[in-house]
Amino acid sequence: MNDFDDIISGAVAGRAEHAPTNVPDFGDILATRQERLRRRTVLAAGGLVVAGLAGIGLFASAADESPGVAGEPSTTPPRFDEAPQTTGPSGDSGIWYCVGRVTFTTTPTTTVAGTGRDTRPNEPTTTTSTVPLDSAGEPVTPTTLLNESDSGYYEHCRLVGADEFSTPAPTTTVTVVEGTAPPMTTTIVASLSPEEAARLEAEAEARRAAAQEEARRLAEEGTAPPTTGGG
Amino acid sequence: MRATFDELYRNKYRPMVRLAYVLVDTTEDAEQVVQDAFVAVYKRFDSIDNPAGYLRTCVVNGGRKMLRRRRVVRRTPDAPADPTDLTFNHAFDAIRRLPADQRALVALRYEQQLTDAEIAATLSMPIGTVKSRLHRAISTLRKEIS
Repeated sequence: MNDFDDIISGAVAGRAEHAPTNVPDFGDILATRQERLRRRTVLAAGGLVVAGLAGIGLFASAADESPGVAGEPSTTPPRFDEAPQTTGPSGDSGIWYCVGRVTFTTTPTTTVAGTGRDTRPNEPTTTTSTVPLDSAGEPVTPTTLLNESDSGYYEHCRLVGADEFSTPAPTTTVTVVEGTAPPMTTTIVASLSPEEAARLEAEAEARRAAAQEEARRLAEEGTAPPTTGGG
Repeated sequence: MRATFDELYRNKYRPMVRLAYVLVDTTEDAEQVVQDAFVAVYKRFDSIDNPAGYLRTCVVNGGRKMLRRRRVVRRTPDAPADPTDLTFNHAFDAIRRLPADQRALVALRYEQQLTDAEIAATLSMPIGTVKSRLHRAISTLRKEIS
């Protein structure tokens, strides 16, 4: 041991002197742990029951809803696959909510203000946009035409009708792969091939994995040495 | 002769709290780490060959885990201790600011007085790694303190 070792030993010993010296009964420790475990189990089970009941309630209410009718929007959105496929006048503007995975396909790939979807021939084109909601729940201003690259998993997506016109009229096919969509007053129809669905699912999975990897990296960075001394 | 769990608990609780306290700074965290470690040993007591070594490893791992969690929550390095505090010690303040792994090495060497081989067994790393990391930690401390 040299002098420096003595300094470090002294510092560590000095610090350790302040450590608590009482020795609790191990039975109490075990009892506390078991009680904590029991509380967590009860909470987790309660959470599962609440989530299950909420899911059943949502499912039941979705099943009970009849498809919306143009001009008479339903207050509770039906499932997308129950929504009317083609109704209502062209050029209508409205707001659609959908929750779930959405895919868009637009032809021709024409950039317009807002984003396009199909309307009937020889009618004014109504453009729609898909915008993720911001933290205040308001739609973010759309800037690009919807196309396949916009497809993906939307936790809360809002399709907003806008009075934009475009020539040629872009055709956007919107598919809500899962989740719900409210009554639709224009054509928003498409089918999604199993391959496409699998691709979207894989992309979503890759994003989730990337997010987890990022979180892990941040956690590891937390153990990195401080960049500034300070002492 | 193998000690019973009660003997292990009686003999090792305080030394382990001292070790944990050097690792995690606060009384509450140190006690929590040690108690968790004893519970882990208790559950496997009959199946582990070296309960004392297992316990020490649990304490060190628990302390490192707690430090990691704490730093992730703060997202900033630990601030230096308050020099006006009566218990403030410049050398220990420098130890506090070591990365968790190096801090564990210093605690095992200087608080528990373990040899390189014992530290290697506790941390499940080669002796060469222990030596090099300990050397790096000491160099950092030497620079900080001087």
